[in-house]
Amino acid sequence: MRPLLPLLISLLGAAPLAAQDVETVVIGERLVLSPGNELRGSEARMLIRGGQVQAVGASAVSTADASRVVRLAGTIVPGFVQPHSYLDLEADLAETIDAFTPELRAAEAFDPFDESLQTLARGGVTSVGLAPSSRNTFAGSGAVVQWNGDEGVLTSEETYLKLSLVPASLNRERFPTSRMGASELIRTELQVATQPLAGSAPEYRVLKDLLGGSRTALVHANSHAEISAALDLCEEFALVPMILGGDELGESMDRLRGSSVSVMLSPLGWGSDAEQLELPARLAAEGVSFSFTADDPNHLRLSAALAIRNGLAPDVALAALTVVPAQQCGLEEPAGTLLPSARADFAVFSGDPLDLGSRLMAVYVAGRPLNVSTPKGETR
Amino acid sequence: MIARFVLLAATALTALPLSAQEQVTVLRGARILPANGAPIENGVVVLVAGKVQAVGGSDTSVPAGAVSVDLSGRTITPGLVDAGTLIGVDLDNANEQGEEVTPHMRVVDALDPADKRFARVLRGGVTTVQVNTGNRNVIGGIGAVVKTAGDTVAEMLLLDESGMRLTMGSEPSRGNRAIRGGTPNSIYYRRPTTRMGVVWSARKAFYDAQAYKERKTVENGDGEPAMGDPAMEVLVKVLDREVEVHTTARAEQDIRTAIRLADEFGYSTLLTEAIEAWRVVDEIKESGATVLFSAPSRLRVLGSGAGDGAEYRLHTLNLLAEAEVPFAIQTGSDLGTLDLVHEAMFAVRNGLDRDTALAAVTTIPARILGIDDRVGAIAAGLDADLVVWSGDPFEPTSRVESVYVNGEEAY
Repeated sequence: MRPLLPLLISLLGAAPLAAQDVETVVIGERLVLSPGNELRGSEARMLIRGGQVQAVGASAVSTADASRVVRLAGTIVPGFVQPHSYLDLEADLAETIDAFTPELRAAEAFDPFDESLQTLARGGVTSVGLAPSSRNTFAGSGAVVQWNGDEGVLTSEETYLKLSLVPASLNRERFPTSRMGASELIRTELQVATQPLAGSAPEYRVLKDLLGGSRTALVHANSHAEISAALDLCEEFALVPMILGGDELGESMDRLRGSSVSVMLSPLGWGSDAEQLELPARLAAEGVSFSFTADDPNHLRLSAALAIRNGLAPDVALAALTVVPAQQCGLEEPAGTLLPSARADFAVFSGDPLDLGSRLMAVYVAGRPLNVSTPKGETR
Repeated sequence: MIARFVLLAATALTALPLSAQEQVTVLRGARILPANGAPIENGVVVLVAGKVQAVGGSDTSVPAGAVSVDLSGRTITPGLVDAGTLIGVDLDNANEQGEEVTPHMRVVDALDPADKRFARVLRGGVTTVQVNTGNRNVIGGIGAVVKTAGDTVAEMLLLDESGMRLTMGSEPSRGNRAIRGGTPNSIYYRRPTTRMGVVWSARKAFYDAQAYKERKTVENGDGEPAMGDPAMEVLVKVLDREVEVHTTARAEQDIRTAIRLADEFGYSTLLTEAIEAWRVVDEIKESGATVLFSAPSRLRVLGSGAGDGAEYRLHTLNLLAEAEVPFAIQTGSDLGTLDLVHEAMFAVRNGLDRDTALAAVTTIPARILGIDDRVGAIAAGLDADLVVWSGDPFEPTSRVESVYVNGEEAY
């Protein structure tokens, strides 16, 4: 598998090379650089070169020396980031014969022409965290997929280590069959990882990274009991976890206050109960950062809109679709923004992106437009 | 100057708790059954900072500024202690089926503080419970002792490691199966599938633990102790009598086996469920074991349907009391019983005296679990866990009016 890495990197490098000298100036009506930081009217312009934002604002960007000028009627926002997805690959993302598979990497199952990746991209999601399935206790490492013209490309092969405490991880045909067993497995294996001899096996490399703080744990936990077990274990091993799901986090608010735990929330819908609808605003009030996950890009916007309807500040809602998930996937700053040196991945909406009445007009990836209206299967 | 500053700081410090924490509550006028002594008519209980500060007759001195609650005509008992329950964890999560011998599984890891049954038993006057692992494994794991009021496990926890569950009889072999053709590709193709196999699984575990202990002593003579096998570490603690075994044994033959195994390996065990204890009172008496009996009101309990065939007798507890075998009453693994007071009431109806019945749901289970310095009686220095009954707790017409846990009215 190793030779794949240089190959992928050269693929990634190829597209921007061709377009490197082309300077494009993009002019919109409203340009959201990052949540709470936006330019309007004649200020709403940016210079793109080599797939990256070079400069923003009227004084820094002149149309005179640009090779190309693109005028877009609407609001330009950073491309959305979906921090946790299986794309269409769930079946390939769990080696369920054994619950302890920290050495497995979701990157290995990646398919650049995956259809749901295209669906996400056409919906304005330009970066995706590809995660191993929740069917194993130690699920494996996540990866980051971005878009490169016609296909997806891996831009980070090892991100968070995913652990799972949800019922899906408890398989009646192998250990562990119970949450008790899952906690015990996590505790024992983390202890083994601290042993000089036993801990030198390749499976434990990732666990050592985790204990050493160079890797983050993403723990899938929804019910109060699962969340409580996750927080207890992380406390025991001094880990700062990210919680995936977190439906009943409202009952653990006291424990989250002042901690650096961050959350990837399940999508909200019109049918969600009040407790879940109010959760984003409550988390924000306690200073807990969170993102939304959904495999349908419309559900990402819907989640943000419903959270705003239930008391969340719009800037925080936008951050939950951009900057926060970018950080959670380990993307370097200024990922999830359109600040200078960020990838020029953006979406253009007819109005405010978090107003569900606004239409998605266009999606740009690395400064180049993606055909939004092309039906499934005809993108190439 | 410095001295004055220190003095100032000290007054500031003491001033704070006085206003915020040290609210004194006095419960007056009730009949008090402290469980560890004679009843007190028209008694007084003083609660400060979550503890009982004093208990006595109407002349008990009371600090100034206390909030007084008039409970004339009521009866106060300690919060009841249920030494064996399966609440706070559902059956699938209370049994780790991946292996048959799982002494290192800890119930505390699977506890759900939001389980509605905690509130349910609290309303029935139970303020402390031991939650056990299930009975589907020969060795299930380590139990936990928690209060029934609280939002998080940490808030509720009294002991994160109580006894280790060992199960005799037919229950652990249910679900396992012998290989009949095909390839052995399921974790359930395993021993035990018989009562014989159950005992052997237990015995093998203890043999392994003995060998492990010996090897470890040789290997780690004076070096740094390496990380051990988590399952074996627990079993070694059992062999060293640092952890007590709670052996579920319902039928007479299983009770005898439980006693024999403990004797053979030198560990200390409680006998839980013990439906047929009436047949083997003398053997139990001789072994010195304490019985956690469940559940007096149930004629059929879990296990009998599985072929253990334990017969029930209404006077079992009377026989144990006569023989001076120490026992506690618990609700046990039968999910159909949640009301501990009902079980004690039932025993009283069948001839057990009230003091013994009260002790069997308060002081004795607290002593068995090693938490009698915290709960189980109304005495100065213990946690302020109290139940206010409208009348005598063993009268079916009496109801629970309020429950205090750590000095706070939880119901």
